[in-house]
Amino acid sequence: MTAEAPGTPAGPGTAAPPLPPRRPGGLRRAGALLAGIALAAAAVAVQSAAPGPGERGAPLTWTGTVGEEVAASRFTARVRAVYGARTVETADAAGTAGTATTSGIFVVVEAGATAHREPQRFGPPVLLAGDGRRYTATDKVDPSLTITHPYVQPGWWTEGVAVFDVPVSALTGSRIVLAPENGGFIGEAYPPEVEIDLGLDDAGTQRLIAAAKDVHRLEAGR
Amino acid sequence: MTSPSGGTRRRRAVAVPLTALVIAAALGTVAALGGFAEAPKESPRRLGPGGVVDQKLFLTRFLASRTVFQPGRYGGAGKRFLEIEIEVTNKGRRTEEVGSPGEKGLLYGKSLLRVTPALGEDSAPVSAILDEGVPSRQLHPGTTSTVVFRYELPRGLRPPEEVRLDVGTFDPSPESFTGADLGLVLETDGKAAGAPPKVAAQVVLPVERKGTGR
Amino acid sequence: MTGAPPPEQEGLRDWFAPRRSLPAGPPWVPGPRRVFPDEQVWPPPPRPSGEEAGVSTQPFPAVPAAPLPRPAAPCRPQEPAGAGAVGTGIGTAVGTGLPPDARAGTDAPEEPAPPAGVAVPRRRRTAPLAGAALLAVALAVAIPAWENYLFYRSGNPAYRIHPVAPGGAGTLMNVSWRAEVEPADSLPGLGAAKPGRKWLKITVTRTSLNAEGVLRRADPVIEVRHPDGRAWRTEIAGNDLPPEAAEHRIGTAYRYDAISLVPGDVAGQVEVRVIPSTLRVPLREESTAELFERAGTEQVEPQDQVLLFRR
Repeated sequence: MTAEAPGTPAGPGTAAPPLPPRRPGGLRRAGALLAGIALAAAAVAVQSAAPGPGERGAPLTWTGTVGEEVAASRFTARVRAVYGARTVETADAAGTAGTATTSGIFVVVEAGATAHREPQRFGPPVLLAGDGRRYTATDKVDPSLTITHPYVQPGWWTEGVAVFDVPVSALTGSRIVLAPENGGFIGEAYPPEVEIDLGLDDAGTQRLIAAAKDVHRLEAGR
Repeated sequence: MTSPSGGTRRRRAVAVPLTALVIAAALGTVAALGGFAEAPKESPRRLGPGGVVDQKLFLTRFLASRTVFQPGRYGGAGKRFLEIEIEVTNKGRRTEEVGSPGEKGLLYGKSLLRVTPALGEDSAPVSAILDEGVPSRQLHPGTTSTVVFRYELPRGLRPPEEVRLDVGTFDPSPESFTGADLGLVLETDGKAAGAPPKVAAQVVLPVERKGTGR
Repeated sequence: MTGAPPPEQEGLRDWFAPRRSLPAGPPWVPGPRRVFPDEQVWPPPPRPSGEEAGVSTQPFPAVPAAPLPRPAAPCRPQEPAGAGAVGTGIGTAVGTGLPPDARAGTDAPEEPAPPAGVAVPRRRRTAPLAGAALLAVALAVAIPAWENYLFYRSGNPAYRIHPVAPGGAGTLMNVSWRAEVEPADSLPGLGAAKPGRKWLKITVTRTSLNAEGVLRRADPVIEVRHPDGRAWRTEIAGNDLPPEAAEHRIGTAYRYDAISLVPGDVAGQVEVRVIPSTLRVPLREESTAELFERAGTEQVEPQDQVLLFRR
């Protein structure tokens, strides 16, 4: 290191340059920096708008109300009626009859569906309560008696029931979710599902409970 | 750094080595004292019949254990079973299945981490909700169900005096990197991968001797 | 020190022998010996204040004077010294710190001065930059899309359709196939179809043309599809293939019976599609060792060949 400290302006020996005027290059650099930061911020913003990992494989939902034909990408579904029941008389595949009871209430949804192109089957329907809880269709009823059993095919409507076993508190604002078995085709990004509002407002819930049958008998169709 | 020159005395940079020394000393002290291990866990609670365990996603009351005898249907030798009866309230947001208890357990049942003495090594237990007319295996949210695990007892073996259940808890929001639904995940002892499930309680149920079962 | 040859070049020599000077000539010719004056090493000699940089053995100090002009300061339109800010203002003494006359001296001869204020070199980079950005965006979209498409295709193969004239036979993988469709209002065991629908009795026959065809005797997929794309569930009710491979004759027709239910108005239009299995079932049961030996030797064929029987 020489005797002169670094950074000090040239000593008296050298010709002192005039103070450098303002550098427009600096301005430009600041502008570029700002633009860079803006672009990076925009990239982050776009990322945050992208679907989260949980949403990425989530089904595309078509919604509707009771009585309405709701057309999803691969099938059309409708709900004809909703009943309440205190017990359900059922028979399993072997023909053994039984009467299912519940601490809550059975909700019997009569639904129908038709396919657009390919024959398909429904997975277990879900009753989506007003508070977001998901009640899978009860296993007290043999699946062969419900809408999950027959193939939904193009050209005609396939009718069937979905039976849920829910606490009474889950009724208000509930919806039924119908989706194809196994989510659809392999590698399909957004399998379809249909969500139909059962139309149970407070009054509707009261009516459903009041009109609940003591025994709802389920028989194999056809 | 250069050596001092030209008479100007430069201060030796002492901050970096000193900091390094301090950090090294601190780390060494911490390591010597055993590191930042997790605080010692509280030992699992011991409960008897009627004991209630909060499993985060479920609230479980351990009711009883008993032996039942089922006479043979066509005059054959009957079978003896050991039943464990519990009352499960699903506090989660969706329907779950009962599954089966034990180390190789499934679904809800896997939270009963260990059953002592080892039962059902030869045959998996039948687990179901039996008191609602038709057997069910579903635990609906917000609903309390009486679940029975039924083990077949090997012929000629005395049933145990009592059964002990190691009860674990479920992780209410398991981390999923892919976003895939992980289903029911047990809470583990510590964060390390492959850590054993945490035992929240040990429940000891005396085995009642009873006659014929359902 | 500078005159000393590198040690590895010194051969054996006597301690007191004069040094060889290698570059001077052949080793046997002693070169003229260089003599260095004595130099004071310690204590350090008083340093002259204006010491030249090249002499110092210490690390090179920061240059106190202004840096040399950079050869490629891109945003500097050349201009005569003292022209000041013109137009965009770029280029007024771009931080070289040189006195104006010095800059003029170094820069002026390199390039003729373009019109003041036009940043020529920067504009030249715009097109490639934009192109690169576009390419990056296109690739970022296209590569995941292509991967997803391949994954989709892995589960849903793009079928290769081989149409077969009405009543004709189609040959795939050494097996000749025929199909017949017979609509019916009622079938034994299944009862009458609901109004508006018709049962279809489908008979598919297969004839192995050679031994390789016999290997391909796994069940095919039989579909019933309307030319508009709608398909109906078709189930194979039975077949009369011999259970033992040894009884499977080359040239004999074996049949599959399939049943489907379609809307009545399309019963005369729907076409049968047969997708033969690509499995090669060995003639006798293989041991596990043989199975492992065979595994990987055969190319996995996608099950994507379809025989379409026109009506």
